Amino acid sequence: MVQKRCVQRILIGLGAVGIAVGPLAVAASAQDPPDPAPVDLVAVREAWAFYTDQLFGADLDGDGVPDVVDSDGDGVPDIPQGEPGERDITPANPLFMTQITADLEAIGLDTVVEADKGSKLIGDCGGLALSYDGDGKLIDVAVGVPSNEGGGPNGAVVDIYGSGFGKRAFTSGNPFEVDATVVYIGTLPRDGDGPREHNWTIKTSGISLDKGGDPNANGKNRNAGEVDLDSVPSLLLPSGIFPITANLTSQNNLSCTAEGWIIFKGSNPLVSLPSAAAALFGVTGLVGLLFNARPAITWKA
Amino acid sequence: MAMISNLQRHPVRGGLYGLLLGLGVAIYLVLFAITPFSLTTMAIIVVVGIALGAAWGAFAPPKRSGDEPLPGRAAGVGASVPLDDAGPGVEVGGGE
Repeated sequence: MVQKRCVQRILIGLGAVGIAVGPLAVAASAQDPPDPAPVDLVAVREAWAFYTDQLFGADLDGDGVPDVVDSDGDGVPDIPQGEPGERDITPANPLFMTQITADLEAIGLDTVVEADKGSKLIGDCGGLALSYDGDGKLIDVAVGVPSNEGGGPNGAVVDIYGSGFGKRAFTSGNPFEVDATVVYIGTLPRDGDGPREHNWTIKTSGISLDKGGDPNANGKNRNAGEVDLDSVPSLLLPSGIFPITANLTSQNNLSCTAEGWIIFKGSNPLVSLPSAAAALFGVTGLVGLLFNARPAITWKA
Repeated sequence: MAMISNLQRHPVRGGLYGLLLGLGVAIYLVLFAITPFSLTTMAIIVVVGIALGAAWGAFAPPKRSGDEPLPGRAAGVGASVPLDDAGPGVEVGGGE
């Protein structure tokens, strides 16, 4: 009787382990294969130079101040002006571009950025994103090389700042770091008419985060701006690594699909509403299992 | 009078508590960037929580509750409480 019960428990334990490990193994093996196309460093440098010039040099409203750096027109740059980063210069400073370009050249012109899984840039779209922490310190920079500009069939997003320098950016192994502020510019395509009557969506793991669209009657082919998480209450700030998929379709058949991974580092994971919910669920579940779900022996006459 | 023991299992209750524990663990794993956010991964963790909770509710070492008989009076089907395992609430000897 005792042996039978032992065997029964061992089988149940093995079943539980199977339930736990089996789907995880299947999920791990089902991940996207690596992008087969390494990208030429020359294309990365060229894209970096192009987007930096567009981002920090464009003055479409003619007020004498670059548009992105002063998007609200108050004469005060939007770029965070806190403590300088590790290169002791701010991105708005031309020296920053010189330094990054020198770093890229130091790798070697014949170097290719190796393929990695997780980030894609399908369509003739490209761009540049700079991320800052709450003190205004630059923490991450990624440049997107369009497929028609040397980025390969799936485009290429390359990390050109910090610990992941020279690697593919927005991958699961090297996610783009987001803290307080992200400044970005994107093009579709670099030259020529932009998408008209377009619709776009942003999703994470199939869940819609945002969507929109625009007639874009002027055929604008680029967009720049700033995402400011500093204005979001800290309790609502996300934390962790998230897959992001952005998609844009248009009437004139211009489209862009961007996939990648983002890590949110700006909030304390213990001080947030999701954390409170996790604590409530976890403690209730654990206490319930220990004190209210165990089998019980009762006696009666 | 013979005392009959009855073993009550709680697989459904265990499964529900396992679901809650699995949800909590899944959210913390994402918050601390131990695993990337993915509905599939979270669903797997919750299902594992339900399975382990149900197994716990059904096959964990039972606790004793109710009107447990004194060791000397234990009798009948399933009444097999050993003398040296009197359980809570049963005074053996004079106490303090």
